[in-house]
This record gives sequence, C-alpha cells and structure tokens, in this order.
Amino acid sequence: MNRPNDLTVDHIFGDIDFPKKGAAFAIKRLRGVHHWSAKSPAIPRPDDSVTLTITISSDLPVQAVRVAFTTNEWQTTQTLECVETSQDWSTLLWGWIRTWQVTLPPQPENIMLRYQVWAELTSGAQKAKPDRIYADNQAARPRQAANLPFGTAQISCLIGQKTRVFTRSSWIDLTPVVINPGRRPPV
Amino acid sequence: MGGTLRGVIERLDHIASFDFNAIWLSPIFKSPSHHGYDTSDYTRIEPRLGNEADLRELIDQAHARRMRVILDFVANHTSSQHQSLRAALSDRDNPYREWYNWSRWPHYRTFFNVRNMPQLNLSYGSPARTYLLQVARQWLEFGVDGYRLDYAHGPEPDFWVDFRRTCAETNPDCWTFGEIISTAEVQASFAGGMHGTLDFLTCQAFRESIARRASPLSKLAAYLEVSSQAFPPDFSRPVFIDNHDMNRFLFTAGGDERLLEVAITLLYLLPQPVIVYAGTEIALNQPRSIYQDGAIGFDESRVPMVWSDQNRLRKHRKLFQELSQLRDRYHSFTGARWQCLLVDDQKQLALWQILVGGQPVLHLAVNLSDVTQTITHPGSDTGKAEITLESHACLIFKANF
Repeated sequence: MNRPNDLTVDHIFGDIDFPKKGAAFAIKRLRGVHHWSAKSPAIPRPDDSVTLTITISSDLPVQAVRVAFTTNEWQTTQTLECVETSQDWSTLLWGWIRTWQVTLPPQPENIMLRYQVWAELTSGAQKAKPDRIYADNQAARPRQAANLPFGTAQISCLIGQKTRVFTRSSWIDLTPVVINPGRRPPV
Repeated sequence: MGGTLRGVIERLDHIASFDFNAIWLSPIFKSPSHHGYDTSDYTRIEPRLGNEADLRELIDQAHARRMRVILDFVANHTSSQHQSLRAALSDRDNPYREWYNWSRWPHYRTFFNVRNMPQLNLSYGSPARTYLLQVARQWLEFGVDGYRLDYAHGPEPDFWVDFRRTCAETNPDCWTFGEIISTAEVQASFAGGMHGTLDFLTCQAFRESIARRASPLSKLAAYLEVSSQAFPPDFSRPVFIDNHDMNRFLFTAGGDERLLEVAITLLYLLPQPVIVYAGTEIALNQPRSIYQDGAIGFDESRVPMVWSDQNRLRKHRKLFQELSQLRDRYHSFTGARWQCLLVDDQKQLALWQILVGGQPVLHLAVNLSDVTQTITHPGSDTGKAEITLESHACLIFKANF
C-alpha cells in the first residue's frame, strides 16, 4: 500500500526503524563496554538489592569488570567485582557478547546511590589503551563526567522513588499542546 | 490556539469543553527563536508570549477548572544568546566555560550541529546542572505542575535522576515525561529519571496502520498486546497520534476525518495518558507535507487554530467528551489489556476485547476498509452477534457471551 515518493511517510525515528540504519544502531549499542542503565529492579525500593548488568563485546580482552559505588556523594566508596554470567553469539557483531553482573547491597529509602562501572583490559593488548574502559552513561558524550573521582561515566539511582499511576481521577491524563511554536514570522 | 499566554487564558473554556485536564505549553522562556527551543533566559518569560502575571493568571484559572499546566523544559542546550555562553566565549578562563561542552575552546558542541544551540555540560557536580535544578524548582514553586523534557536523550540519565528528585522535593505531585525518540529499551532505561517517556512507538504504529493504512491491522494488534512489556509497570508513557514535529495525523490520513475519529477512539482506550496536539480536537489539517519540496519543515504542521468556524469547533467535541467519560468510568483503563478476538487483513477488520483486572469490560470493532462490512463476534454461539460498520469506522460496545 506504500506509494512511491509518498510524502506522508514518517521519519520519526531518524530511520533507525529501517533495516540498514537499525543494524548500525544495534551494532553501536553492542560493541564495547555497555551498561545502558540496565539494573534490576529498574526503580529500586528500600531494601531491594540492585543487580547491574554489563555487556562487553569479545573484541576487548577483559581481565575484570568492577563497580564503584557511593551513597554519600563520593566521600567514601566501595568497589565490587562483577561476575561473568553468560556468553551469547551476536551475528550482528560476528562475535560474542559477554555479560557480567554484580549485586549492590540494599539501601534505605531516599538514598542516592551513585556508581561507575568499568572493564579492566589485559595490558599490552592492542585495544587495551586506556587499560580501563568505563561503561556508558548514555550521555551524548560518554566522557562528560570528567570531574568525577574515577574519571568518567556515573550512573545514579534514587532508592524508594514514589511511583504514581496518573489517572483522570488523580489528576492527569489528557494534555493538549496549547501554545504552538507557530510558524516562522514573515521576514 | 492562542499563540500567547493571554490567548490560552481566553480559550480555557474551549479546552475544558473537550474534558482535557492538563495543558502542555511549548517553551515559554525567553528565546530569540519563534519556536522557543533555545532558551536565552530560563528565569524570564518570552515577552512575545506574555509575562509572569499572565502565567500566574493562566495557572490560577486552569487550576480553577481542574486543569494542570505543564511547561516544556529544554535542558540539553541553551540559546547562543544565553549570557553564560557569551561570558564563556569572552575569555578562555571565564568560569562559565564550565557550563558548556567544547571540542576546543572557543568551539562549543551543539545540538545536532545547530550553531545557535550550544550543548550544556550537565555532568555530575557541574554548575550548569546546579543551575537547571534551581530553575526547575523555581517554576514549580511558582505553581506549574510538571515538565515535558525536551530531547531528554541528550543529557545523561544521571542528570535526570537529580532532576526528578528536585521536582519531587518541591512538588510531590509533579509529573515529568521525556522526549526520547528511540527504541523501547532506550526509553525504558530512563526509568527512575522521569515518570515516563512520550510513546513515539505507539504513535508510529497508529499512523502506519490507521492513517496511512500501510501496515496491516494484524501488526497493530500484535503490537498492542506486547507494547507495555518492555517497561516497568509504573512507567508512564503518554500516547499521542501527532505532534508539532511531524505531519498532522489528518494530513497523513489524506484528510479523512473518519480515520482521525477511529484513531482518537483507540487512543482513549489505551492504558496510558493521552496527549492531543492542539488543533487535532477540531480536525485541523495542514496544506502540504513537511517533506514536500519548498516546504518549511515542521512549521507546516504548526498551522494556526481556526476560531471562526463554530461548527468545526464543536464537530468532534461529543466524541472527546464520551471517551473521557469512558476513561473516568474505567479508571483510565489502568492496567488494561487488549485481547484481539478477530483480525482480517484482507477485509481490514478487527475486533478487540479490553480486559480490566482480567475481566472483559468493553469490545471494540474496527473497519478500516472502504466499504460497509459486518463482523461476527467469535464468542457468540448463536452467530447472531453481528456488528455492521460503515467504512473507516469503529464501535465500542459491551458484550456478555
């Protein structure tokens, strides 16, 4: 039913929903050291342990994966070693994706848990410079957090956030856009 | 569509008459652009749109009608006319340099290479992060009820966790939702930093299946059965069929208002908050595609409201009111599940059962074909449960078989 040169076709997602760009997008998300804020539970409640998941593509010679975390704005930290839990083949990468996990201890309500995850690479390997690669924090520029004690890439998580289901009877449901940006004024 | 805060105040009765209960204002802070998505002063209202007294009155009058006011908040970048950038460019050692990301001073990083939209450095401990949190707090204290977070994919999720905490501390009833135009897994990874994300995936599914009819109904049915699975249960995903950055749904549907009504009906039965783009409630169309040669891009869909035609203003109002009443009756379909009972791609027919708390409460029959057709409910032993639907139409009904 698609018409050629159809001007009603949407490009909402910048065409990552088309195979070629979609594959490139997926490969970018797989290659390297990634965390993508993958934590379980996603919104931890008080006294929940928080399990973090990190994936690393097999082109990186990994010796260890570690996490440093703080609950007092980096005044003190604790470091834990992650455990490799699985290896899965990725045809997109034509290689293996290794998955590592670590469980952080439960925290009381309203504690801000901040952490950094990194992979330590085998020294001397061609791709082992620098010898630490931090997992992304999904920032447009992953190296933004340069003023952190460990260098880069912090992820935060507030324990016991109040979650709400918004309904008409609570307060919000329908939201029309009212002030439209409008057309560019005539020059 | 007022175009100014005063204009919105004057049209609050129109908005309320459709049973809408919140207003999301596109950017109102001081900005040199017509769209306002490049703020030059987060603490001032763009004079072209009004002033603080206007906003005060708008909030008060909206609240009196039990409507909330949500502001568009652009955290990723400022205007190049923001005084902090000017200061940062004036001297390599100026402390404002820390507010922005630089490839090498004086070359700053920008939003999608748009020179007049310099990207803020919102990393942990940065002064720009502290400043934006303070601004967010200031407007919540003024009385606004929440924020739509523009290009929320730009700042790292870590920033949004601090942002949400600030908002919750200032106004526990505040609602924040982000614009993250990406995959389900990327959207879900922002859980904890905002109440939810705009549901562009469902928007796309509706436009493909109903407006363009380029995607079979079976694909839409399969999508709706699983679309919530990737998200935490409390993750709020406001759903919509068009916005100011795409062709209007009605344009995409070839101007067919019947298809618009079908889409609106389905939208209101979803277990998600609904957003209606101003003008869609009166079937506002646009003259040409945003992609057409010579078009002025997204501005093509940002056509002014038509206030002069009273019939048009009222034409679809009853539909919105009835759908709102349904949402009230079924608690906004919270936790509802759509179960497809019948779908026929050749005939472009579908029949859904909507379950709330595991119990079927409503049925929905849809005919997207160009001819009148009859659907037989498969749960009927007698075969007499037949629904005849005109072309491009749908019907909500109760059935106990």
